[in-house]
Amino acid sequence: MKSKKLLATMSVFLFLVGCGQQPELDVDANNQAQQQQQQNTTQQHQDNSSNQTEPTTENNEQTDLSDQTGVVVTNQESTEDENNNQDETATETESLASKLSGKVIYFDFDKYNIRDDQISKVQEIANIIKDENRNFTIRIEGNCDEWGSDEYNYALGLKRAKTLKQALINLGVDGAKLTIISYGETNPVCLSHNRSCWAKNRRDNLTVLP
Amino acid sequence: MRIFFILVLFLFSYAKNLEVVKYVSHKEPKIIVLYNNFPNKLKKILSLDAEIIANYKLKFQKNYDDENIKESYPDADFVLKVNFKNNRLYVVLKNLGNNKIILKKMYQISSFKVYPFMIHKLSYDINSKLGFPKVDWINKKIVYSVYMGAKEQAIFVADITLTYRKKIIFGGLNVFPKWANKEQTEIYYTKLEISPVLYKYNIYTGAKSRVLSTEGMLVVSDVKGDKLLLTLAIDEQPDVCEYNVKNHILKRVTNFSGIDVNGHFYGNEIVFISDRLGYPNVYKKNLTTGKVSKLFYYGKNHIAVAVNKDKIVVSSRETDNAFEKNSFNLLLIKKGESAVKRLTFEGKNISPVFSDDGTTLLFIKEYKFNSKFGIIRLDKNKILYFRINRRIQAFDF
Repeated sequence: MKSKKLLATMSVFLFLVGCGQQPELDVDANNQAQQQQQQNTTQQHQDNSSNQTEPTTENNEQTDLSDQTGVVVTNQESTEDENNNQDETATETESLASKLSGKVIYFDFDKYNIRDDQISKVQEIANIIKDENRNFTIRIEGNCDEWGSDEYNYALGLKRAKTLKQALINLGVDGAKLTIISYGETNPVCLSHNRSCWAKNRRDNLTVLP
Repeated sequence: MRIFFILVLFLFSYAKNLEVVKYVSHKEPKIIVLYNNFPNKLKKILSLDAEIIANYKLKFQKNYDDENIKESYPDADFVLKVNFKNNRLYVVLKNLGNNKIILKKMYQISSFKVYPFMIHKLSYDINSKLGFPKVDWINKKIVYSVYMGAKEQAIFVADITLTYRKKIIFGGLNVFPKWANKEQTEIYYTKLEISPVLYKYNIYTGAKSRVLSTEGMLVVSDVKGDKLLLTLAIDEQPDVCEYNVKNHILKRVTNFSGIDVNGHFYGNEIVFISDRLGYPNVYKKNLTTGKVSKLFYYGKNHIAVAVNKDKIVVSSRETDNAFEKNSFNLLLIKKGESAVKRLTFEGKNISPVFSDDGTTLLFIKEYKFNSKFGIIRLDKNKILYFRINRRIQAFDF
């Protein structure tokens, strides 16, 4: 009788232990799956990072670390740092771009010399660029109204961009930070066909290149 | 006597406005087109071709088997029988005077979409068989770029009537297309990326190769075999340059601190637009001596030029108003002559391009800010327009 009771107890005990173990197995499997998923995600982050920043060698070392020590968190932190740096750069680019976007230089009909009423704006642009310590390339985009042939307008737009570039250099801006392009009449800001619209389209505007 | 004197005065006051035009009687051959299976689309192109070529007249009759054609149309010179089936066009052209068949042919197309080119071929053959000078230009393709939006331009290929149109390049700013060869299988065009880049593109295979890149501006204005005339920003300065695509040698042709654009090969010279006198005008430069001289003394402001053998056409700005609509008209002069012929009278008429034989001129007309292609038959004093629903940036023919 006693032995039967003992046997029954042991069976129950074993049963309970077995049931208990199974969940542990599931947990382990889940953990492994989660770890694998995290590693995959990390790998993906690293791939994305490599696409953005192109530091191929650096990314391989971080991968080795995670394989050996499972220090996924470290890798994630590193990736976050990189992403933070990129975010900062993007923010600074946007900040400079937004400062320059409001500074548009306008020109007279068929002319590419800088008008007297635009000189103060040119000075402001020069100050914004000179105050910028980071390494940016600023593109001066020359534009025209819709009159004239497009080839002539491309050349006129180029002259307008060059005139502004030269003016900025004369005011102490590093010419190496500036590049020029002409859009002729293909980049209007105003599509109506009237004098105020044409005046708005005869312009130089500035963008910050990535 | 008094009445006679008044009459003379009246006539004199209007004499300066009288244009004496001597008409030489010239009967255009009349062709009766008999058909049963001939879609209206094909009929329309055949009619348009006859109008553009302007050497013969057509009259359509739906009855392919009319044997009494001479009685029905006693003034007809020829009869053309057409039958279209399964993308094949069967034609027979007969001289009603001597009953001789002068053209019997079958034209075949792989897809109905390209039917305009099939009809242009037929029109070319009809014109040739009637003994008129060849009209190779009717078979040519037009390549043009249109504004799709700000910083967005696409390039299309079309037939001369703009009935067939196909977008071949899009996405971003694709400008100034130019045929790279006489066979019209490849084009040059400029894409405005971070800097302008010149590409060569095969319109049939899609093969694309990068030719040249520069800062600022890069436009192909003329092609002569392996040599390109470019408006290029050397030292950020728009000048006319010559580039050899075979040996990759770039040569500066003009060197001026203002604007030099739109260069064209012209024998041992180049013709181009320059603002070296403070306003754009047409100049020529002798490539041997380097001498630059003004070519065109009529009018003050010329924004585009086209040349063909002894003919020069300029687009001349005739109003000078910063705040109102301006008019640009096409003016023709012949080398060695001083007479100027006005080809257009209103609107903005720009970008003239000659056909190879110089008998036909294509241009862009912007009238009330819509674009049309204009075709001028110079020896026929005839202009036709083909409307397009977008604004054309540039084209080549």
